[in-house]
Amino acid sequence: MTDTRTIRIEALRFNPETDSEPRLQRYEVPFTPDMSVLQGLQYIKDHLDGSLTFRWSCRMAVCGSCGMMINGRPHLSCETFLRDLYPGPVRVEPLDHFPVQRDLAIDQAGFLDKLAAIKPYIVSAKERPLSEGPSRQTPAQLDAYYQYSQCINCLLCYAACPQFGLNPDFIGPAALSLLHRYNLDSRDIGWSVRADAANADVGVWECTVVGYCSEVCPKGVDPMHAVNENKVNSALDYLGVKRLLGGR
Amino acid sequence: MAEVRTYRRPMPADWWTRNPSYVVYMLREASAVFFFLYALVLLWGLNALSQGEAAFDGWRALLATPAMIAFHAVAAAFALLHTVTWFMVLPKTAPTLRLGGRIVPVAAVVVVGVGASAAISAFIYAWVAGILPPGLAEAVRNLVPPGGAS
Amino acid sequence: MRIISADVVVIGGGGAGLRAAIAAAEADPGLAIALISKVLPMRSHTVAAEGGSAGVVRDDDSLDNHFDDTVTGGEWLCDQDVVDYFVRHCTEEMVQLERWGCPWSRKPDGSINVRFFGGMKVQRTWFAADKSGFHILHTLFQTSYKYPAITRYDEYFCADLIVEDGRVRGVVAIEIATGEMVLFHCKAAVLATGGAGRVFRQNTNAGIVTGEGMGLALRSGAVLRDMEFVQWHPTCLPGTGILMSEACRGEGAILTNKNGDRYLQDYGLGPLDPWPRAKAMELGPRDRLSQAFWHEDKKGNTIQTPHGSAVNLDLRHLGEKKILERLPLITEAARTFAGVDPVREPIPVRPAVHYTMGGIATNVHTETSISGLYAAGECASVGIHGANRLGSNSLAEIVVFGKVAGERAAHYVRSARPVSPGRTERQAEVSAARVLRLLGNERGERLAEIRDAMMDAMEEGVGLYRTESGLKAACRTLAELRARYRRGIRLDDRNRAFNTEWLAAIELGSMLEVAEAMAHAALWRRESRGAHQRLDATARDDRRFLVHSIARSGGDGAPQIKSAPVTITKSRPGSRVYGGAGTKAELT
Repeated sequence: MTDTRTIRIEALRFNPETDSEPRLQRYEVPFTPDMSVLQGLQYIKDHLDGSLTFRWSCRMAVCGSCGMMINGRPHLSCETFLRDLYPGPVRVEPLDHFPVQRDLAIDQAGFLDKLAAIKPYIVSAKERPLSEGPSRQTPAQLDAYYQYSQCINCLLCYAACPQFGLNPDFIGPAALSLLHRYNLDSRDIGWSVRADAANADVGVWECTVVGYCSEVCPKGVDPMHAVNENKVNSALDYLGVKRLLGGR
Repeated sequence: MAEVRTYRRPMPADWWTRNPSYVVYMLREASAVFFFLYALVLLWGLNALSQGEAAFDGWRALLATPAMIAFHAVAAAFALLHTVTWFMVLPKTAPTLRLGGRIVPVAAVVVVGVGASAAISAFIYAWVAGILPPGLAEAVRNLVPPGGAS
Repeated sequence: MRIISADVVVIGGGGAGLRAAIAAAEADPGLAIALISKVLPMRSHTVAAEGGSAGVVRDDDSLDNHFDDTVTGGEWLCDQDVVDYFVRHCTEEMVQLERWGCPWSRKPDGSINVRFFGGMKVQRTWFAADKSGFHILHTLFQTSYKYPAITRYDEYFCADLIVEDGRVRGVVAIEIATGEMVLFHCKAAVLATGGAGRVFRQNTNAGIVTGEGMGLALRSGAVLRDMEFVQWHPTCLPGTGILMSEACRGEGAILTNKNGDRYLQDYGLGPLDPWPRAKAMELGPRDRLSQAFWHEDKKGNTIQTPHGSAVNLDLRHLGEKKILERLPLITEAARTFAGVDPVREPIPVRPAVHYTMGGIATNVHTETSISGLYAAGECASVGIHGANRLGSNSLAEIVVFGKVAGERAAHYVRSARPVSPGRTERQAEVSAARVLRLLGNERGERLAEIRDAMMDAMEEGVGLYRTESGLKAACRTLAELRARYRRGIRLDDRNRAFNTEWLAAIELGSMLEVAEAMAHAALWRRESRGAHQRLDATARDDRRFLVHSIARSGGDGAPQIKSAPVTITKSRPGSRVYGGAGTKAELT
């Protein structure tokens, strides 16, 4: 294609084997109008510097691998286009608030533990054999939790959350959205299963309603809403009202 | 197991200046300080009122000083900011608002909420200042008889 | 080297691997199950599956229908005993996913809704909008947290299998974060590593779909089956290959050429009316639709885009409401990646490599030729896809056969005899040394050069339509590329910690072997059947080629190709007819 321009990409580099501090490295990258930031990084890796490290996989904004700070804001690099950042430079850094493993790759282990804490699976009142066929769930019942089931675990919301930055133990937006997703599912017995996680010091009350998490979510999930509806639930639980409602 | 070495970037003290969303959030949080100070000023006035006319007049004179006017202007601005942001946050903190099965957009909540707040504020101001339109003043008198309950 | 002991090691954290791990944990909660994945499980490529998963549920459908659609669609190269098992277990697995929380789309009364897919007599595809794979994967991943028997090793890259006396004994892996070599002692292993679509340039696959499970199995003495059958999905974005789901057509989208004609009626898929009707026009199978594109392109009836020719996938008549409700992901993807709003404009699409029908040969129990080694999902060839996979059979396959693999592996562990670990560890050291050598090359080519040359060779010689001379040229090029690879790749990155360039170099070794198996199998099969079309042998030849191809590793040389019988029980090979007369279908 003829429509090739050049843009500077400045990437944060950190090698745990040799570096004590991260540094910035600059690359001049030729690009066409349909190229994403991710494709820019792939160009660097293939042609300029094979040691630049970043995660990616589906390149269509559904696997959640390629989140990074692009010019200071959390984005999926596969759906952020270089043409929109021209003339640059484009600064790419690992997602804020996470420990850096190498270059743009962050340590995600903490999130996986938080997911465990919220019991991310259906807990039903009674097991029914598969031979009885699927449960009924009306479109309205599906709609009640559907939005929260759209989370791709890309962790942009954690990079957007200063409370998580200040307290890495905060269960945080994505995990609490999934907590809400299961609580709202008509097939789940609801609140009582996950009350401890929501009520904990690092649970919903750690949120101070900054709201940036909901702004950056690439999938239209509204984590701030999930967290804050659960403040109501947590307060009702404290007052004993939840028990009167049968723990839902 | 080989240890996974990571680098944890420090959270700088000025973290909130780096993003407009954080700035708005911090201003909203800061508005509480001005509410607190404004409440102190009001309490001071109440206290002055209990000490007699001279003290109350003294407090009122103080309110007219440029410094106090400036303070009130800033406090009013923060009050406005707080009102707008409070309504912006409302749909996220309350159960989802629906009208005819559709989710009410945030903009509508803010417009209606801020509009209602402005109307109520204007009404209270006009009532206290005695400049309510005659019809409205009549209605208020019927609802709230002078001298309280009879 | 770090040493970990497990009963069952599952390699791959996508749908098949997770389902296998859960099945093994349910079969025996006392087992130590290690789930190794080179990415976090929810990043696996199952996540990108869109349209849905097959399972007979309607009153007007039947298991026989599903069987016939599958076997006919696969042009009688399916093992019919396996297809029979498969269709009998799909629906139960869909219900199981429902129990685990999968948000299947529903009818107003709360029952499951199903949609049409190509090549289906009756609507049979369970769907969760057009994010079915995403929801299935996250449901399985999150449900796996319920089972303490499963220990996950996320971001561990499997580098080798240790096989002794025909039995699997261990798995050598790299902990990606540190680069440390790890040996998993195991009694049984399940390969669930996905397909190999990335050996081609234009493909719908994630970057991780590099076929190294197939490569590992091949090097360890297992065989690959039917590797010449590669599925081109007919509707993908030019350039990126991003998939525009078959669900588009299942919901009623049409394909037109540059003149606005619904050209499929010229390729044995018509007549146009009544429309829509099952197995006709846009509801035809993937191989026929992709091949029709090729002919339209040769006739000059395609539109030109910066990334090659295309036809129009038109959804506009479905209306905004239905498009947004049923196809939100492809709407978003078309807007973001093609700059086209499907509500207002047709989407330019072209075929791209989508699925590896072949894979590690297994029987219906998912057993490979190596004792204790099982394979399930796209990396396996269990025998249900034949020459062309029916859309929505692959999501069903990962759960149906993932479960079988997990249960079989759990059962096998009970009978496995203890062995001396010393021998396994010595073998593992040899493997580790081989892998580590890649880091030290002082001279050699850039990784991307060999990889790109491989992709070009595959697109050029092993594409939609193949010829003997083209295939021979591809085989020669691939042999040269393997030789260049052996001579050395020089990595920029010599570190151990999180060295993705090193991992890509290991992947490339497998990709080259898998690509070579595809090219040689395609050269061997001198006929046209399903997705394998030869311009120099345009007819199907049941007399000679109603058999599977089997590829066995030739070490550093070319793979050896042989044949193996196909199991035929009740459906005798006939002619594969689409289009024709039929009644108008009601799209739900």
